[in-house]
Amino acid sequence: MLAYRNGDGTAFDVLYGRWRGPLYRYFLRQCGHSGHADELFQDVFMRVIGAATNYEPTARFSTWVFRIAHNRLVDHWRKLGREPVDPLPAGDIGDDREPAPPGPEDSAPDRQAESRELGVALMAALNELPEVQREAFLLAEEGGLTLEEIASISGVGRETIKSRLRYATAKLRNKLESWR
Amino acid sequence: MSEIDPKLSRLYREASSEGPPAALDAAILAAARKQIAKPQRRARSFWVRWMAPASALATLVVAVSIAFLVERERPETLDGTAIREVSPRPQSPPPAHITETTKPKAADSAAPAAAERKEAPAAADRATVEAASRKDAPAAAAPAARSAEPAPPAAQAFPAESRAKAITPETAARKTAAEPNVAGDSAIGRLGATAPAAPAAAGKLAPTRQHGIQRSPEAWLEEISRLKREGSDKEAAEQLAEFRKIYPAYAVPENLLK
Repeated sequence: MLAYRNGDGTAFDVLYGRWRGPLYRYFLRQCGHSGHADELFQDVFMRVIGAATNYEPTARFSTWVFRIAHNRLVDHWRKLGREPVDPLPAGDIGDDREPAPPGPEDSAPDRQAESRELGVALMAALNELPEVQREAFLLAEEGGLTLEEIASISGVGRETIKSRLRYATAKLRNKLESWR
Repeated sequence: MSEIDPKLSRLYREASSEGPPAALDAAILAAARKQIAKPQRRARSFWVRWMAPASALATLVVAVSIAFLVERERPETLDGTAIREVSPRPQSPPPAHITETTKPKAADSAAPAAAERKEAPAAADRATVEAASRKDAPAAAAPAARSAEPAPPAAQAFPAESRAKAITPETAARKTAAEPNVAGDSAIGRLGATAPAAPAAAGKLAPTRQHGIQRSPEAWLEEISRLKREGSDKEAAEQLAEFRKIYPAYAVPENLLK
């Protein structure tokens, strides 16, 4: 991004090639609509391009660009009259308990990983997650962000994100159990 | 991240291959290149936009500076009439009575009022010269000179010179007869023991300085210029040297300095 800010056009090509898929899938999974995903995706990268001249590396680029994406998504939801709902009970943050049911351990996903149907089932299960849990999962998987970075972007505590991720993982494994 | 099952994570990545449409890619990349090109074009346009006004401003500044310099130099080199302010004068004008006593020698440039005051001494001078040439008694001119009252304070201004010049009427008459060119000075010396000596002393000490005192600097320079035109370079040089003593800060035209 610094190279692009300094006038290196090819640097943006590399940057875009690196983050186009993760960012697009982030929007696609969150919106569930390719048209909205296209619009949001383009809008975020236009903001990135517009902010390039004043860009200062205060954080990793992934953190910066996914923060823009998160804010843009929140605006999109507000525009649609929706609010992301956190299904966690109040006070249930930072709970280190393993969410139930734990599922049949590692063997089931591993066995069926090659199955295309399993992938489709995973996407369907992901789509059924609450938005905040899905966002935490996507930010971790697509953005490769840490708990702290996800917490900073989402505006909640680190333990809350940790709890959301555990719930999300447990639900996904539970959904995929039927494919064993 | 330990919160996500690694196998679940691998499954997700294998199943996730979606990407934005190619048209969207092209649009974003084009926008990125356009954004890169903008600052360069902006920099060029900035220079192009300000080049003409900057050049005009620079030309104007140079022109005004030259005009200002020419305007400042003109009085000194071309006109010769403007006076640069001189402060403080190296030599203050002598008392009025000295000027009055020397007026007869510079009657051509003296003010009319001063000339009127000088009528009496001048008459005394003429009478003295005539008397000396006729070998008459020198005392004959004395009463007339005394009646003319030729500024006694001059003797007080130059007491030593007055004493040196204080000669008897007889010797003055003889000297006048022998040296008709300085008859005026000598005759004045016969006017009295003290007073008549002043004009002569003043006249002998600095005749050119008195020129400068009586005349304005411009008139004096004009006189010097006239002398040069007439070929009296030596006299002009003397006058100019005297002028520069009195008016050291006055800008003398260059044609007089050559």
